[in-house]
Amino acid sequence: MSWLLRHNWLWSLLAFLLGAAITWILLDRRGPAALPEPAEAEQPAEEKVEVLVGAGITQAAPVSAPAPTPSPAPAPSATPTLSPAPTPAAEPGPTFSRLMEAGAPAEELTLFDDDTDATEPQVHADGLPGRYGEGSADAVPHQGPPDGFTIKGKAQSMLFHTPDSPYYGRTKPEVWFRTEADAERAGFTKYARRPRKSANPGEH
Amino acid sequence: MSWLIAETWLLLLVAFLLGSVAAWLLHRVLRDSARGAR
Repeated sequence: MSWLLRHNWLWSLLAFLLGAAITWILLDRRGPAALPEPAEAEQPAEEKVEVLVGAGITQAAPVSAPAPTPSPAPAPSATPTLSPAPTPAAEPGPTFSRLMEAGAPAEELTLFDDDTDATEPQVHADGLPGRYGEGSADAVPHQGPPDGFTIKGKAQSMLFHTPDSPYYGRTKPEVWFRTEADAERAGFTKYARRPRKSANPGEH
Repeated sequence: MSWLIAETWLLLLVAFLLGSVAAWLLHRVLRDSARGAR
């Protein structure tokens, strides 16, 4: 056996490296956020997603502006502060328009899509804060976060994942947060290995 | 001769598996250390 190894050490080394490389790539692909440099690993995936749904986004934008108005009468009373004159009819049914916006990207479903988590998404591109107030933005399915928003929140579990979380990569966010403080202010708890509602969830 | 060839393939397979295990362990160690350092 030693003779064999002596005469084939180069091939053995190559096989070793090949096995290591393949395993590493597969592990990285499965959980890119678990690595020490999660931001770099995450970036290409998000770009890919934006390319995939680019058409859906451009279609979704006009949908939000002329929201369907079954009856224009209740419009002025429902918009006391937010919207000025041009779009008074956009506000009376926020849930309805939200549902309409949810329907637009759903037409662009691909093999990678799994819209089971896409409950009541809201377009955050208009600059308005998400439903959890300042520092939050409602996630749009298959679209990356707004600039500066890196924390993923799940409304079902009321947990949030930072890029350090081992489940960050595979978590489909329902809401994005800018900072951990924003998420905690909205009532979310930081994911820990054993999730619990502790007073100081930042600790490990 | 055929036994020699078989043994060579076996050696390559073992090397491949060892490389996979080494990468997996290294990946795990790096991940754990990155999580613990936080």
